[in-house]
Amino acid sequence: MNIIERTDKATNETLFYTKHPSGLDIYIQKKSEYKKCHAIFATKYGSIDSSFVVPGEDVTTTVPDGIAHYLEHKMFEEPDDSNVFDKFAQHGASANAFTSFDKTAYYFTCTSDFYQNLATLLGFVQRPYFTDENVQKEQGIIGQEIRMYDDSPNWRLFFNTLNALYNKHTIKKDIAGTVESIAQIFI
Amino acid sequence: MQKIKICDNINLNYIQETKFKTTTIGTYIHRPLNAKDATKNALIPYMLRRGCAKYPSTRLLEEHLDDLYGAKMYHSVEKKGEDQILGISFKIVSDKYLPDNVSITDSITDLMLSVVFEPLLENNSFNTSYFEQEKKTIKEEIENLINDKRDYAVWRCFEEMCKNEAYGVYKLGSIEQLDKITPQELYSHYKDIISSSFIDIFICGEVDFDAVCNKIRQFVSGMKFNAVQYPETAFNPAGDVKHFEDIMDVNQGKLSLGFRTNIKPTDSDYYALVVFNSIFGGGAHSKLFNNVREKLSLAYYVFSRLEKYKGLMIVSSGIEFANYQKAYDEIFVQLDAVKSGDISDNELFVAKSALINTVESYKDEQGYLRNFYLSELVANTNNTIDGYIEKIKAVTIANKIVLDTEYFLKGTEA
Repeated sequence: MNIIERTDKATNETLFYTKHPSGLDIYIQKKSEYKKCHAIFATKYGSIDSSFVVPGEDVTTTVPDGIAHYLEHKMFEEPDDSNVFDKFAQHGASANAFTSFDKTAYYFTCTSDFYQNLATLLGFVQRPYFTDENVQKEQGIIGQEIRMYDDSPNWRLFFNTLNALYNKHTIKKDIAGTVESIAQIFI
Repeated sequence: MQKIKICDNINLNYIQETKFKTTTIGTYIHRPLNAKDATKNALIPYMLRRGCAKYPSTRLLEEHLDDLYGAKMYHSVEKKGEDQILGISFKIVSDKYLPDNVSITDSITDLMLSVVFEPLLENNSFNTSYFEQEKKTIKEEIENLINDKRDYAVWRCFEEMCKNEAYGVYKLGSIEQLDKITPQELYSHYKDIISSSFIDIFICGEVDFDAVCNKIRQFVSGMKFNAVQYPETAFNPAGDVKHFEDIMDVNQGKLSLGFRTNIKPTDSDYYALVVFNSIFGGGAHSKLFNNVREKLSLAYYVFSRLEKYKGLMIVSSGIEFANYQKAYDEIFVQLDAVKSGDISDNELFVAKSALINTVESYKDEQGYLRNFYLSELVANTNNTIDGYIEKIKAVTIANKIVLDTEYFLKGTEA
């Protein structure tokens, strides 16, 4: 892999970039005097991508609103029925994830055991483990996440504006979907 | 951190760190929190930011900040226990990035001293039109409390819980008090508090410390101060459990439970309380997260948090109205588990690791560093970050936590 380095003259900080043979873009920003390490693993799939043609098929697949966000939650389940938060916690890391209109991102921050935590991040994001039970269980949790946003004036104002601006575009749909749409999500 | 006494009322605290690209400098005035003065106190940083003797209008002051390579000015009102802290602070680009060996640390120190100690006056009073504008700003900030129902439900619980204590006063005071204040009265109050408050000045970054120190010393040398200490926070035991509900047009119930821990930050078992809280509800590793959320799917957010200076602990969660009892019961199942020592070695280990990770991270941010050291001063614990971490590592569990107040914000249909 060809690694490109770019050093900022004013701050003397270096950004490294390379493209993995799989197509993955990798960026590393070195912050040598800092305690905290941060890694983020993101894909270009978000809430607006609710209709698509699966490679090799010729029909359009449409999925329930909020499925990208639902998937983000469910990636934290592990085949041994543990959850990934526990694995990060073992190495002092704090992990989280978010779904936006066009991206899903998983990340952690830590001040120790960086490479072990990085291996955990790369591992769980590429290793889905869904069961009827663990998919079902998330409905209550995400349902309450949706209700929480229903009570947030800023969030409602933002989506009411999008609803006024767009007629058909899926950007007008709430990122987490609705309590009704997520009830249609099964394994 | 280096602490230098400027005079009986003022300490200068220097957090020296070369890695930051910015320098922060701020003045923090400590006032005892009480219903009578809280609103007047809160208005002061809002007025000070509008202008000073050297830059006698908001426009001139903002232009000067722009001249200093886009310096930023912040005003703040914080509450640490029953200490109401009024802040004026600045953030500038670190001198090391400026061309031709220019230093703006000097200029920003001058500006801060003028903003804090030489306010803009007209007819021996605060500027009337700025006063009216800032009164309106604070009024709207107080009214805004109700808009974020998560914070609102936490605040309502503390408010009811500490109704007869200073801690029950909101950090910005109240609209009733606000309506009564005149610019003349506020200026006279300002003069009183400047001479009778303990004041901390914080600098974080890399500066010529002796030069800043001398500048401040010289500036205040002619001023008169009455020697004072940090305001103290009263501790009261829990009485009978109190229950409150509000009904509003909301989509989710917001449950708050307020506890009295009866542990002061200076008590030897304070660090055990910090670990206790982490195991109970301090993040994705906690019992509340793993049981109320992951196992029973009752909530998206559920956490516990300490109010360090007043010895309080709050549990907060957003739930279906109908799940009140289920969530309430499970919270107490988990609390009793921690209290009775039903804690695995692993739970203890990850709770400590999470706390250490959080505190280590403070070293990377000037705002967190300032807050950590100011907290240590207010609580009179005076730890360094590494010292704090050693105390966390040494913890075995103990506790005296008692429920005081339940609060539930429910919907109109519940």
